[in-house]
Amino acid sequence: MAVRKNLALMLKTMISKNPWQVLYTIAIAASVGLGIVLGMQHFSAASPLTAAQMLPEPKPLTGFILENHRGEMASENIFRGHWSLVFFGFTSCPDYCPMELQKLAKLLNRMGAGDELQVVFVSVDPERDGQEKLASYVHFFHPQIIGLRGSNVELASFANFFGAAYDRSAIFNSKVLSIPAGINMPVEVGEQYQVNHSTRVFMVNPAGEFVGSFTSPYSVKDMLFDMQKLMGR
Amino acid sequence: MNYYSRVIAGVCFCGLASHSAAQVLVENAWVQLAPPAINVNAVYMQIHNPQLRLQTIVSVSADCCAKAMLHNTRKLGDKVVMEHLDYLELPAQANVQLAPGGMHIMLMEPDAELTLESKVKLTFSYSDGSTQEFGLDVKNNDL
Repeated sequence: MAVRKNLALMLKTMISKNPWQVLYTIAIAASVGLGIVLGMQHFSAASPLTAAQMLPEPKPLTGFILENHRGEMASENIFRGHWSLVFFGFTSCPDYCPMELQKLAKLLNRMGAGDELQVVFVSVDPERDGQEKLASYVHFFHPQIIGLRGSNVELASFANFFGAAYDRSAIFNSKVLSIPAGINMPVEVGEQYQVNHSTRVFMVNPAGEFVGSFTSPYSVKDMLFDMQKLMGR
Repeated sequence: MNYYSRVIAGVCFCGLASHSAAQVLVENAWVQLAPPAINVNAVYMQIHNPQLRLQTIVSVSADCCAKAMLHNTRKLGDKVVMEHLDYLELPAQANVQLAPGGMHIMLMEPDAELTLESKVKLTFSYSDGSTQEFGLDVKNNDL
């Protein structure tokens, strides 16, 4: 209380003796404060992303035809006008895919982005992942997740564009059978086989260009930070 | 530790009933709910081997499903691969974690779709010929 009284008295004396000096002091303090704030904003905009790895140059997505989980044709147009995160997997995956899709669903909830961000789950197992199965699968994790499927050839080409490696393997006649991307699963193998797939989550910007990816393991927090930054939010 | 205290310890750890002598204790054990129409479920748990000797699980089975297997999810470069484990060693007086993104038990071909109301009886078979049963709930946990 005494300190406050003393300060008030000092200020009163200074104003009465030299009002211009007081005004100069206030102006200098305000300028310095404004400089600090603007500097911090500039530094923040230029600071690196937490987890995202960006490509040196954006890579436009073109010339693919897949099918979405509603059975509609999906081309590069589905990537235009909003940011997309693309993950490759398969629905019979008991451990890794559910874990990643839970994370991406959390991200969608935390972003609260509406149409500004979409998550795309691409099944690389078309023989087992029919349209209806894919639809109920993606909906289980989040109603806004889009499922994509297609022929083995189209899927391999689409995955290759992103550099998303995958293959399938089965034990057949007591031997390990490896089926590369793009090749149909032999009918005689049946439904018991493994799908080994990319762990990366790929980023596509609203211009429909592949711009970067997240490498596992990443946290929802880091991904949220980076996506908000990239989306200018 | 006598028989009764071991059984009580087992119940405290996992809240589950065991019909045989408790060779190991499990806690935080559950069957992860799978999306509709998906006929594979993962089982996660922490296993504690209180014995002074190593114990080895050589097979697992579940009353709900045609098949149960020990699996390990492993990153190989940029890819994730799932390996089949022929057995699982439980070192003496140590914990082994079956956790999302790592080792787990995969349940396949359920007789009926597993729901949050389902109860699953899981059986471990050990290398010494003994078996141990656990009752598990199905949960939709954050992985």
